[in-house]
Amino acid sequence: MNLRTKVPAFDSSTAVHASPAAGLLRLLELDEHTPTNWPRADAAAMFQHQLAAPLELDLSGENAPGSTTVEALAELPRARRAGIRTFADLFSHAAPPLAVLKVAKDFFKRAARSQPRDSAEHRVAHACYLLSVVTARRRLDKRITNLSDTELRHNIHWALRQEWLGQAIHTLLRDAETHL
Amino acid sequence: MRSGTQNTSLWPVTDWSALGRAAEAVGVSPEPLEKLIRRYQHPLTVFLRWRFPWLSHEAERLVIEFAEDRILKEGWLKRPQAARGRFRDFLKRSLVNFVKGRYRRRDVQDLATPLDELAQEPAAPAPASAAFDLDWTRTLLAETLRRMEADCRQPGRDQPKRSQTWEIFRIRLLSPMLENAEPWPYEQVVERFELRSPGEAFNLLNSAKRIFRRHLVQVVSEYEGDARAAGELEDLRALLVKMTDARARPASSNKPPRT
Repeated sequence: MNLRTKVPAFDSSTAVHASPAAGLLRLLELDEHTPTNWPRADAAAMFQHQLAAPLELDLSGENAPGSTTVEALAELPRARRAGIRTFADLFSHAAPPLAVLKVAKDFFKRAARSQPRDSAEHRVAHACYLLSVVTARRRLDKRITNLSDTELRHNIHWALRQEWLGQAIHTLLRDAETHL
Repeated sequence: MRSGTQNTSLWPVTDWSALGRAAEAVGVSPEPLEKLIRRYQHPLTVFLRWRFPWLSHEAERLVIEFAEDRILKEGWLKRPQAARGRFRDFLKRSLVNFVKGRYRRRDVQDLATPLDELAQEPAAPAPASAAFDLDWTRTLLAETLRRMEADCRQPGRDQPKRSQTWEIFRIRLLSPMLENAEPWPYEQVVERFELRSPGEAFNLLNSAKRIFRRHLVQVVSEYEGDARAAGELEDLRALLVKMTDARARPASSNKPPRT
């Protein structure tokens, strides 16, 4: 924990007793399905953070699905040797490993589905899911999704409206769309 | 026996184990009983003032007498445990009966209030009752958070991020919910907790939400029992919904297409 970032003092009992009923209601209703509500303005920072995240951290965890994981795990050291350490590396590599793209696609699909559709978390995960699919299609000429080209194009159009993805990603998506 | 605790609620959570210890201690050790009486003195006094407003000036003394006459009487504390009803209801009923009985036994010349007035129910019980329930809910939530914080700060857990769970929970969820505080920006949270991916942030927050829920159900189960905990939580939720005029829901738009 970085202790240089100051956290304001907080006493939960005082806060609870000072809170109006609406605040108490939000707390009482809190469970795993409650969205964490990162503001949309945070989507850019969250997306950049995801791109910079080490592949092993997200893809070799228990969240990764079945047999694909084994294949992807075997690919990860090879990918690392080829200079692919992060998701940004994966999506920008000229010949990314297909197994890793597949497991990344599954990981982000599950992450997107676990969050409310209007949350920043969902948007970031959905964009990364799309990037996995598009990268496999454009760089390896492989289809790793059941989405039709029309649906894929629809998804790309949505992503192109998301300014927080940045110019480089938009360029990649436009390029992919022209080759569909 | 004036309450020296920080508990501002009317009805503290029933601590059945403390109650049991207190019951065992009758006539043996005064310490647990003092703790118990101190805990319930304030809510009982407030309740008595509401139920018998004409006895406000005597409320504190009557509660002390009630404690001495009933709570400290051997065997009395074991009654609600046997019935496993609502302890706070049991206390309230007992106090009302105690006050009525007390005045019936008094010499007629001492009576400041006629007996038929004592028998009357308060004119507007519903709002007062809702206020009790609101304070009761506050107590539950405060107790839940107290336990959650202690749980998260407990050393020696096998989860390496355990100590961060409480911090991120209060920064991202608790303060915004209870104090309408601005949620920390994502970048600042990442810096503070040295998170390596958004997945870590999600996992920490999900863990926090699970821990909170587990403690909340536990706290409610302690006075309602496991089987009725869900119903009690729903009752409390319904009360808060009723008390909340406008429930703002985030507007949704520009949602991503199907994955």
